[in-house]
Amino acid sequence: MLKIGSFKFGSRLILGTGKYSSLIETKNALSESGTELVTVAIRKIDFDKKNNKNLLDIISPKKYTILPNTAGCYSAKEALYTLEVAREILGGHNLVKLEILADTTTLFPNVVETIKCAELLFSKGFEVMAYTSDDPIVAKNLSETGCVAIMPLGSLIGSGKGILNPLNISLIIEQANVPIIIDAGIGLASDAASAMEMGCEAVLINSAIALSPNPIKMALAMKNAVIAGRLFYEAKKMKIFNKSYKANASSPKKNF
Amino acid sequence: MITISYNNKLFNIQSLTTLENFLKKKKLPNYYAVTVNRKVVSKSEFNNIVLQNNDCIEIIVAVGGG
Repeated sequence: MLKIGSFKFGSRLILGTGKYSSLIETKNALSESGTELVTVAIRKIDFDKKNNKNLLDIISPKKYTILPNTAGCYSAKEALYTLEVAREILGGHNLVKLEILADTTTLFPNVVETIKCAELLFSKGFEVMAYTSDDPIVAKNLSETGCVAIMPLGSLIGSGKGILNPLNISLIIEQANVPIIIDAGIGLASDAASAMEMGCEAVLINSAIALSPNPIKMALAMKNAVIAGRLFYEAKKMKIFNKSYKANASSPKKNF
Repeated sequence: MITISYNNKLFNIQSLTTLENFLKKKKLPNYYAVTVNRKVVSKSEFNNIVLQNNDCIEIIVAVGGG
């Protein structure tokens, strides 16, 4: 069971809802993945759009826990406004993903603004999951502000390059007293499994599924990768008796 | 008459129109928020807001994002 703040989830796979070719594809991928927590962005409605179906008509807040993000915000002020709007859209729902960007090329987080905003949000009753860099000190600071989950990037958003600094992620996990969730950079199923093997409590995936030629099958692949990684983490790695590199038969040596 | 902006389009409306009366004629989704001059207005307040000249109303929704 994944516990984030006052929320509990059976699935450890969090899905983004961007970049899918249609709302139906989004719906089917979410369903196949088994996710219970999905991120959304907050934007002005586009009345000129021909198909005026709204995302939340397809991805019902009655079925999924909706995690509004602050993607596109470059300051604490913008992020605070966005999340107050999100809370109104979702009828008082307070679990949010804080993501304050520093730069349009790297989409790296502005950690100073993120910490400032997290403190403000906490005082306004929000439960904050914070996107951040893989800096263990910043992760610790965010945890101390009261964030309910820390979400370091594995690599750049949308890059699919995997976890570039697993040692830093391990440091973050070792000192954590809230769930650590890899937020960006997952490209392969093995990236997702690797994050879970290390002890991440969950992973958030969007592009790797949405931009696959077969998003539905990829959603299932990621679901199973996350389950496998988590089971591995709970079962723990086998004990290795030989310090040197030698074969060790698994089958009986006698009575052949 | 006053002029207001509604999701970046200008509308001429009668003075003393409330936000509730203005939005009654609009087709809105199930899940949305309304801001007036970048301030969130809860639905229970719609009838208390009398629109002023140059007010900027925005309808905001959830869209796909990661």
